[in-house]
Amino acid sequence: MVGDVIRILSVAIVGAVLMFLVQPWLFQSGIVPITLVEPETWLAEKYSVGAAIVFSTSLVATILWYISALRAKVTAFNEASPLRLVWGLLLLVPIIGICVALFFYNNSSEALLPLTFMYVVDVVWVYWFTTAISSPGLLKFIPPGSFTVRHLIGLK
Amino acid sequence: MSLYIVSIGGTGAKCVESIIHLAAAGLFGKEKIQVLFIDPDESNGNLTRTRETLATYQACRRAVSSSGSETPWMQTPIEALEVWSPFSGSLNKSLGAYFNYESYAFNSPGVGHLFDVLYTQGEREANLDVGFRGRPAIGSAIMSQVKLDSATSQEPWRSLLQSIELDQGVGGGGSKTRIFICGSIFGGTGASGFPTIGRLLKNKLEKSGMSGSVKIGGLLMLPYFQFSVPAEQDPGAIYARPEQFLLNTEAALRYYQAQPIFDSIYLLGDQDPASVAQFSIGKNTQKNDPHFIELYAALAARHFIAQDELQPVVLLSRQDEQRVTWDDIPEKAVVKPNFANAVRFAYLWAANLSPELNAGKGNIKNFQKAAPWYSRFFKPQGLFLGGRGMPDLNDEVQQDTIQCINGWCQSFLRWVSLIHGSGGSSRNIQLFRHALLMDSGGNVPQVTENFPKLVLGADNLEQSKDVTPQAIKEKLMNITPEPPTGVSGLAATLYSLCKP
Repeated sequence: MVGDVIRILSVAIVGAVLMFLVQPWLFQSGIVPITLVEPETWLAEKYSVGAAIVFSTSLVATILWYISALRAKVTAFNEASPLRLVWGLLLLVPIIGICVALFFYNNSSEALLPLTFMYVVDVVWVYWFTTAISSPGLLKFIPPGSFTVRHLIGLK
Repeated sequence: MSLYIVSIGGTGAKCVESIIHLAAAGLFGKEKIQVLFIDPDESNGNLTRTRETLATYQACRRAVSSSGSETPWMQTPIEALEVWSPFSGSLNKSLGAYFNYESYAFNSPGVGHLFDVLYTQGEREANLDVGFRGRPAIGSAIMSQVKLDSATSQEPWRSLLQSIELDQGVGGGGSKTRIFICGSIFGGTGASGFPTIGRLLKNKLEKSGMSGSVKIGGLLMLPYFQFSVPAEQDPGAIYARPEQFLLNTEAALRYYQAQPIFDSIYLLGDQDPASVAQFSIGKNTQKNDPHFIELYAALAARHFIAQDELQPVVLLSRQDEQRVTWDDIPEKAVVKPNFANAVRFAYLWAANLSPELNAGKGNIKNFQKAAPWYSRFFKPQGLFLGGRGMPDLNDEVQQDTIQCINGWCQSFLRWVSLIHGSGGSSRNIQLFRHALLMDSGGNVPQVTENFPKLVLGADNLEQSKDVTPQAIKEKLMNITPEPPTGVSGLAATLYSLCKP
């Protein structure tokens, strides 16, 4: 369990660095160009709020999944499989977060596509990857792709 | 140390059945046990069931031995020297035919008259393919004809004697060898074979200079069951009569008091004999359910081989007339954890692991994700997942091993369940919650919530969260097993984790 918590924290910190330092820098430096709005203002007023929503919804979903998995009574494999549905329903939380962030906290049409791509990558990192490598007990391979990911990185 | 068990009659076979089950639970060490069954009724139901139990044990032991596990489970090699019947190969299985009674009229009329005095016409002519019909006098005469000479004796006596001589080495003084003879005191085959075979073996050992190093122990089962003779049964016919059991026992005990054959002797009985539902003279219908006294019989055998200095008399009784608890079990500190370990494993395997493996073999790709312990013991399916050298669940060997373990679990749990039911209405056998072990159809229910409650008087197991099936499977998933893996490795690891 301690290992799981350490992995969740580590991936969340890397995710935060990615979302609040690396991605704004991509916009600031012009690597991802935005010209219709003032980048500094847009980043301060729109991006930072939208990114905070996506990050927090992903993290909340991750924590909810971990607690649900920890409390689940599973003694047979057929009791584990239905929990994939729970994982899928929790994925809706960060997806809704992305929608809210894009709808309410983006006034630049040219940023829409890269921003959507970045938010999706963020959710993949903070929710999917975290749950894939940190799900507890008999549910460790329930997040899609976790079986392959854990075997590939030696976290069997 | 070598142990030879000579099982005489149906009761002897039932004692061996218990010994096999306790050996599976690791209570008989790693030394080989060889069993010689003696029964003129080779199709006796009790004997048949014991031989089936032994075959199940041997098959399971063979299947799991590849795991190289150090668990006490199935550590005892048990071999059968087959069944010896004094009538093997004979067409006419009567006392008269065995001694050529008809020829005495011409050759030795005196002997013929003595024969007439000792045996009635009915006893001379009774067909003995059902055993000695509760008449020790018939059996003793026949059993005394056994030739115990390694050169001239018939099989399987020859193999038994050669094996003992081999253990002792040329000139004796080899390893410690023990012979344990078990049978009933109150029936026909056991009552006649027990003293006769014991005496013949004792004489043989003395003659060979091995009596100092080869000890003979005896287990006599005093009356512990009874049956009702049906009204339609011919009262003049020859068969075991329950009303004579105590009388036979009393007379036999007087004999043993005067005949110091055994180095150590165990007497086991029950003042409230269990009722056998079906009356049977012999053959396959003589198949009585296991009885809790037979558990003590196996513990007597264990006591006999474990003692360096043999005690001539071993006395044991229970604390409470109404129940048998763990406190009434000799060497409780060793017996309880080992016995409980075996029951917990057998239950968890039969109720959970085996059905899972069976369900999962059809779709391993999905199964391995929902059962994370799977890829610890079997080759995972998919690219770049490793598992080189690990077996596939669908391999024939793996599937056969599952069937062997299933067979043993079923046999073992059935026996445990039935010995609990043998106390009748007056006694409670309170070792395990036997009602949880088997359903009314004789199958292990697939209910894992009951797993922590199986052992009576083990509150630590019921309250601890570390020994639930879920916790055990989580430990299973975090173990890196030593090769070879597969079903045998999985079973051995699970056995260790089921330790109470």
